[in-house]
Amino acid sequence: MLPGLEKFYEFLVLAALVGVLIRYTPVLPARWRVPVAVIAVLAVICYMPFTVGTFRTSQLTTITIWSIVAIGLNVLTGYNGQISLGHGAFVLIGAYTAAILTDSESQLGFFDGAQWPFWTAMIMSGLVAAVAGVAVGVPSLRLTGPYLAVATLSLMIALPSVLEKYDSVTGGAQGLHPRQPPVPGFLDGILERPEWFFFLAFVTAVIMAAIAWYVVRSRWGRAFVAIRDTEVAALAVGISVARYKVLAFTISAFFAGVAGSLVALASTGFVSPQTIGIVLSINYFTAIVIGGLGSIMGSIIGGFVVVLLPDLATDIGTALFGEQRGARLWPTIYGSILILVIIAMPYGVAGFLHRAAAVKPADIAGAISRTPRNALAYLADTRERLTWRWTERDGKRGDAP
Amino acid sequence: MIVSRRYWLWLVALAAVLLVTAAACGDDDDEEEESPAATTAGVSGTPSGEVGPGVTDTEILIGQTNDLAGTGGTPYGVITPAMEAYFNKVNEEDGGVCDRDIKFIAEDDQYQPALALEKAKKLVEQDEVLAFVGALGTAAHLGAVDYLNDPNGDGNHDDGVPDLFVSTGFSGWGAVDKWPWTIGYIPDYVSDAKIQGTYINDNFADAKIGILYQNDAFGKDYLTGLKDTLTGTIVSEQSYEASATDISSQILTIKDAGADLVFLGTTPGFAAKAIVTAHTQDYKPQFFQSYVNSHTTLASLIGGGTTAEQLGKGFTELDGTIATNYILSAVEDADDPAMVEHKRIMETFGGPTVSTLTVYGQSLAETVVEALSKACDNLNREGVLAAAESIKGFSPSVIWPGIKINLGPNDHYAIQALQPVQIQADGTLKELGKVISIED
Amino acid sequence: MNVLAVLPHLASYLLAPQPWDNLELFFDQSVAGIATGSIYGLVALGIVLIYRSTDVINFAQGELALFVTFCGWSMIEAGYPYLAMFALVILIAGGLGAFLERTVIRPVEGAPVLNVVIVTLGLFVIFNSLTAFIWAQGELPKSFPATPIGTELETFDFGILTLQQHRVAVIIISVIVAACLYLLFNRTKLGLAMRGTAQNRVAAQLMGINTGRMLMLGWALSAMVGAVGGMLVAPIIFLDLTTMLRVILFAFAAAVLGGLDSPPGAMIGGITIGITQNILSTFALGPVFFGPQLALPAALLVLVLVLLIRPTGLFGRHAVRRV
Repeated sequence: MLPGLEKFYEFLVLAALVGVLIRYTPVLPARWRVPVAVIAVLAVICYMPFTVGTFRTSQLTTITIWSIVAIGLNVLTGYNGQISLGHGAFVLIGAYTAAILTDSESQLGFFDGAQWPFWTAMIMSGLVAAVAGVAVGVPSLRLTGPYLAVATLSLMIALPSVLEKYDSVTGGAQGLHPRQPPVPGFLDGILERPEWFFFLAFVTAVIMAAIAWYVVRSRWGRAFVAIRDTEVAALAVGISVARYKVLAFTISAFFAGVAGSLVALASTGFVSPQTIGIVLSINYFTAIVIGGLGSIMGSIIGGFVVVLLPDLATDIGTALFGEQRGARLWPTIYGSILILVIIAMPYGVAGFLHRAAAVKPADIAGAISRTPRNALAYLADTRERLTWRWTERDGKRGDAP
Repeated sequence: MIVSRRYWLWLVALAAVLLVTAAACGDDDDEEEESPAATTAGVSGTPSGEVGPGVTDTEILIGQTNDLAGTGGTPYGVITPAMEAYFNKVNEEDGGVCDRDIKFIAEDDQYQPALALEKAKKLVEQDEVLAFVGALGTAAHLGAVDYLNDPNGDGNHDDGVPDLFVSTGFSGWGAVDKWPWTIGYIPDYVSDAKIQGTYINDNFADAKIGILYQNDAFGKDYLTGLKDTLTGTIVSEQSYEASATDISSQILTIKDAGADLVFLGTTPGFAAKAIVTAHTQDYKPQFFQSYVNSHTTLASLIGGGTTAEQLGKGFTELDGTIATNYILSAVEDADDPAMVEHKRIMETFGGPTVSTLTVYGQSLAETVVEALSKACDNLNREGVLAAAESIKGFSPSVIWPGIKINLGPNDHYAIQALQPVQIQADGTLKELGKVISIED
Repeated sequence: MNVLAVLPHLASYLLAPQPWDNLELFFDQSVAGIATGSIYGLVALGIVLIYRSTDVINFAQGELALFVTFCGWSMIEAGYPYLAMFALVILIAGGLGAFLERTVIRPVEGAPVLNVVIVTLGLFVIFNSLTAFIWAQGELPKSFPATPIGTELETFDFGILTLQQHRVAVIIISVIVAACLYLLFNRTKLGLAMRGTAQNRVAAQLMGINTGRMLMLGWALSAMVGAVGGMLVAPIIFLDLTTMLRVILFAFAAAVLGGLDSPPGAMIGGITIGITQNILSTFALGPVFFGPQLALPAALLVLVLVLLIRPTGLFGRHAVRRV
């Protein structure tokens, strides 16, 4: 074992390295590299549940689920340019739909009380969330930028109160405890419960990622990007902007809804209005920006970042400030890392990796030799700016354009 | 060069992959070493039963989840270091429990149910704690409680983890058939409502009653308890969201309905707000309020500060308000020997500044130590649960005198007695009758 | 749960009080709404200010204000007089705002706008955590003194209207702050330079404006306004870790409702939301479909409806689309 590194992280590093390795294998034909790399990474991740223990397995499940949300959100924000800070609401809608549909108890007076099989409930969760997506997407047509951000955020703020109000259906503040699907017969004895949940989420995520991959490369995807880049031009070449914007919202909400059903069925087995809070909802947005906008791989990286970074920050905090203080100061470190990452990688981790692939050893040597000078220059610059001088008329430099 | 310069990255990656693969696959043998349960069973010492997870010859490992960093917006993070300070004291001055030191691990759940579950899994499966103690927050712990009672999800409860002394008054924790491994700690809110409801029935039979409650499990417990108990007329029930900034609308509606007695099923900020709003509207009903509101905190909130003058102003407004109490106050009871000792423990063993929350933390830690010390012969999960269930007539030193903790296999509520008190204009509490217990 | 269960809901809707049934209550609720709304408005003003001068929505605004307000609380505990504390806190806030602009905002200036949002979210987490670390040791919530004008407990009587003195102070100070800002932006060269910088940075630079300094000033000003907001809110809803979060969400709504580039719009938006919340929860549809439990969603629904009619808020300028 590498010093100080848990097995779980070792495997993650391994997965990443295998991916990079195959992606740049000299002997492999160029068109095979990406698919083979993806399959190899997935294979490593598939092996992980059998060796990293049940806690890490369930954490992997969470990461997988959040990645689905992030992929969906990236279709909306990264490819179509519409901001949503309220995607947690769609996840919550999906989670409640799945919980209600698979619940065998009385809540289901409407639907004859029959309990739905989990996979139909998952699809239904996606569809219900998609309908909600249309309902939000249509009014959102008139809104852009910060106005859209606040409008979607208010959806997330409002939803928990609504869920608590109608507690005859939603179980109120105490939430619902849906029956989690048991390990199916043909896998009995092969998979333990946590592993089954992981593979349920994992297979769903792979399917959803494939759908997203197909969508963003289809006519729809090109329309999304065209609208993001210049809406007026897209309109001018005959793209129905309104239709595609609503479509992006719908697709993205569908992803969130499916992920929500997994939260209820494969992850927590408990849904309450607090299951997805405002902070988590905003975290999805953080995930895609940190991971990389307009990149499916970036969304998945984002999923890893939002789940694992708090743990990492706690470890750093404990190392720096001792156990008690570290446990209380971790968000400070978490926030600092977010800021540093976004300053160092303006196009997210995925964008950074793309650029890093083109880097040559000489560039690195050059960068290292320049670093002290750059840092000094930056410090001097900052110091000068922080000095409070108001008169700039005496010919000294202002900010260069 | 054999490989062109473009492939330097590839070479580096290849080397790294080999290294990591070797590291990841070559260390399967360390897992057995880490499991303390396997090696210590039957070793000399007190235990006669089989030793459970988290117990070694020298240590007992217990865990907790809490909103440590305050990300969830609660101030309860401070309870954890207070408990830790008390455990340190037990380890260093009293020789530990069952000849072993207590080792206490807390994880941050950010007050989110999903994270509470994740951290519970970490504590149980990775750190292998013997028991969960004093988990914080109704909303958060609801996420973890199903798991703790049935970790493998097979539907029966034989493999649970003791989930002792949950630190919220949610009335559901004592549901033995649903969650047999869970024991609540503080008086549950329904009981508080019932005790106060009975008092209202006896002394304010003709009152027109208004109820203000927080729209969550906490407030709704109060509503349920009151509605079950009250025989008088309820003229208005108003609720507010915990995230609200203003409750004047609700107070005005209650006033408009003509209530002359108002019950506040609210947290401190909102209780203070309600009383201030009512008084500025020339509305002076008899207030009743939940035990979660310490009267000194309320007085300082109403008076605008902690100077004697401001507190005086606050107490003038609070004069006559009736509440219940179960724990000593860090302020008025500062001279009580138990509180002097509490202050010493917090200062000597690295605890936080003394406040109501640290007092609470110590009472919780004392109860945990009591439960563990009864389980010495049987230091495993079943043994700890049975030991906790066998606690009878125990009073932590910082609890209101006369209040005892009684538990049993079918009684999973720890503190079930409260002292009704009336706040006086000089800031003292007048006891109204004796401690009321609703044990069974 | 079935369809029949809706019938009692409908019945109680028909029986629910309407505004004209109880004018006094209606009036009281409106006044209470104005007082709360003016707070949302004041915090919204800080948001609008930074948006106007830098084109960024600062999610850390509230937590920054919370942090400096807690600093103020410590000063009061240490025995500082109120006015000295007030001035010091504003100074600290200004310095902190300028410092943050220089150290963490500037490096992402040229980057996509969402990156700046992430930086402010990072700052949000940092300041929230620092506040919790430093001040959440003892009991929360903590009390905060009101301005010397008057406290929450005492009231001014204006005939039919009874107002808490501190609420009057809030309204007065809000008006003063808004007026100062109006004068600054519309009557001084500095204000002109700041507006110019926000509108077109390159053109402003060509005109010889030190745009970097203007941006820094924008952040400092907005942090200062936020601090004033924090210190005025604290006596009303007390100081705990969620104090500003509870306010800032409504402040965002208020800013957007009024139009993100309109300072008067922020105040009006805040007051509108305050009143709507109170009225909707008391009357008409209120007790049945909304009730106090749904006052919050109801107010947000109004926000969204207004945005549908005016996508840039009540007083915002319409965005021009360029190819």
